[in-house]
Amino acid sequence: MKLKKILFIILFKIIFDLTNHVNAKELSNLALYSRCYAQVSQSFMPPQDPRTGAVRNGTKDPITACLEVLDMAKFTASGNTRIADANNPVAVSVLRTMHNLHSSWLEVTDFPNIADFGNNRDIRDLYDPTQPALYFTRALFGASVPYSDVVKSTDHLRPLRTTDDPGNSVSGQPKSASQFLSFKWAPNGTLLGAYDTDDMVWNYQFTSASGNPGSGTATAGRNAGGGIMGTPAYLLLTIAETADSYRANGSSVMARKWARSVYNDLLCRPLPVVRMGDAAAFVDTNSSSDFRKAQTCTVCHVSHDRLSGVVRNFRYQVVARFQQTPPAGGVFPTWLTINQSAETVWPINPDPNYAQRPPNGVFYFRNYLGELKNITNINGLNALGATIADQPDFYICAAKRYYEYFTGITVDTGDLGDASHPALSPINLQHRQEVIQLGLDLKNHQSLRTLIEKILRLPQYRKSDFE
Amino acid sequence: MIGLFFTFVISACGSKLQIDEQSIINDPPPGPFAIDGKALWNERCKSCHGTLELTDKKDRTPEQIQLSIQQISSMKTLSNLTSLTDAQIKAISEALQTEQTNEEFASRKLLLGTRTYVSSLFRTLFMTTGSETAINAKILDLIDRQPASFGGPCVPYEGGAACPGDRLINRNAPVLPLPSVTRRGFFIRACQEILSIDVAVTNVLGKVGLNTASVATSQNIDKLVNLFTPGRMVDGETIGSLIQIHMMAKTQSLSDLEAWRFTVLSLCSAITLELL
Repeated sequence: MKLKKILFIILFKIIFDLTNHVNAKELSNLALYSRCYAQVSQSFMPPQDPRTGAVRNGTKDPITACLEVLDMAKFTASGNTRIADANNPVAVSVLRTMHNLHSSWLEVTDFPNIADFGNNRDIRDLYDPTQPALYFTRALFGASVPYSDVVKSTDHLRPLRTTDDPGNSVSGQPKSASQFLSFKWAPNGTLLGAYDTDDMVWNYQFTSASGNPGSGTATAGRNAGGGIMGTPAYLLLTIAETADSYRANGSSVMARKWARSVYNDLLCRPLPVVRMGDAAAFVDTNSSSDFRKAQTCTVCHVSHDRLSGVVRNFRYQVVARFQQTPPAGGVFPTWLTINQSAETVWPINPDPNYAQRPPNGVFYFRNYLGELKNITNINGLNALGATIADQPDFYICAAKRYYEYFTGITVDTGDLGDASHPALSPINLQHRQEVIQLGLDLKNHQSLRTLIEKILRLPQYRKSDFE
Repeated sequence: MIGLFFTFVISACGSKLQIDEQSIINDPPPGPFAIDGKALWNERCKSCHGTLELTDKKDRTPEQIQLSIQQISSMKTLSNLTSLTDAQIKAISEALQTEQTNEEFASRKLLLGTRTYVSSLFRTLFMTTGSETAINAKILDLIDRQPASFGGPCVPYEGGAACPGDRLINRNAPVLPLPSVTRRGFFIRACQEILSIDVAVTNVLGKVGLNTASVATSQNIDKLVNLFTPGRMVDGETIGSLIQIHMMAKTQSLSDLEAWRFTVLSLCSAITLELL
């Protein structure tokens, strides 16, 4: 008992001493490399790591060594679509770690219950909800992929995993029991890369549970433009108007949640993205929608409803809705024909022809400087991608996210000129300025790897508590 | 018992780290004369807008709330809303704030490794051949299967044993996990249970060229410390304390193996190991 008591006192001291070592000290080269190694791979640096000796004796810079670890996950094989060595556990860990990080940047992580299909089981088999994050991952590990490609690419990226067309569903059901026999399911296994697919057009034919024949064509791999924003999985994840008969009407029914996700995921800005006063001119008491009558509601709708105009032609193609409980089936994005003229104002009442008018949208946004961006007549997703790629906030957002991951410091990159925005302390302003500069630099050099290197080489990264 | 002791000791340290952790766990209670915005929310807002934790009306300013009450048709007719005073609306707004950004310090999270980091740490330290099934089972059970505590999302498409349990539920486990008492508890329990297996002790000693017959010199202890926290400098006093632990165990007639078990357990239980 006495021994236990004495041991506890000494243990207390050791824990206290060791804990003290995490406060405001400059890390040694080896400790710095070890931290960085852990962050890029989420694994403990093994004692036999080949760079350790050189880092310890000062012949190799610790950040250079860490970047070599990061580079193990570069897509250098199979036409720059996959990592060089699928059997290298460090490379696999780095790719998994960074892709998980990128996936966490997206606010919607699972499909809504579209068309009332129980548990989305078939939708999850057809689409991987982490697929949209591949646009970030490819920008980091792909060969000379500019960051703007995240919103400008027209590729449809498919995860490259160990099994490309698995025989079992995510929930473990055999594919042979599915009505989607001719469809290629989402790959499973270890993530090894990403590649651009064809449109994945499938001709299906089957007999439904009720005995009715079903046949047709479904397209699962066509990117509608604007990189991540037009990829089928992103649209199905974020539109969140779940009725299979969904059609945007310019007023009550809109793909506004998709637009909310665009502001949040790509610009790091939750709604509202403009100031209260910016909405005043759009309030209309004659509207049939409550949100147009109250400025506090309009301040969000003025940005997300009008932005979603670029995907107004979207509708669901629902395949194989069996008469079974729960209903099962697959959902694919498809697009209505444009056969109506463009509207001239933001409708105050539902417009039955809205979904078949040209896909014009408005980007209405206060940027990090507080400048109001009112970019009208954005025609379709590719034009929106170009608009977003032109905004410094798009790059500042990426800098903010990596900065947070590597230093733990959350930086506010919002519109500080908004009267409702909380004031920032001098230290938070300092971090904000740092992140803004990193973002502006990214806009110029377009390289996520360079952005990460710049963060790792900041003096505060060497400090044990990052202050 | 030892686990409880460690939890107590760690929370009693009073260091900045612990303050961060505590502030995450406990909301400060309102002062005696403060208006309780949370209670007001529950009384007048929750029925339409959901709980304070889950509502989508977070971070609303007093002006926004005031305007909503004045302008939204379904709100302006409710007397329990229109009767709210400016001070009450301010209190509700404060209760809706998710992040305090005007602090003296930067809004900083502790950087902790996710479960993949922690499990690789334990495997690196305590396994040599990879076939130590008892140790591996402990790591799987106490670390890999705890994404809610250690973070590290479960990607349903990855399959395999890397993420047992309900992968759909754990798909959102954070990439930047927060400190918690539960996490600390699992970590310390893993140290205890793994080190109760003799081969774990001999393995970790073997990694730095020691065995149970080795003497606990400052040089040997330093080798161990460097294995656990590569490149982190530890002062002579801490090394001295570890030697004392070892010697004390020996003077109590514990075997060499037990003496090293105690020494390694002390190192394993330090929070530094979880920090990146």
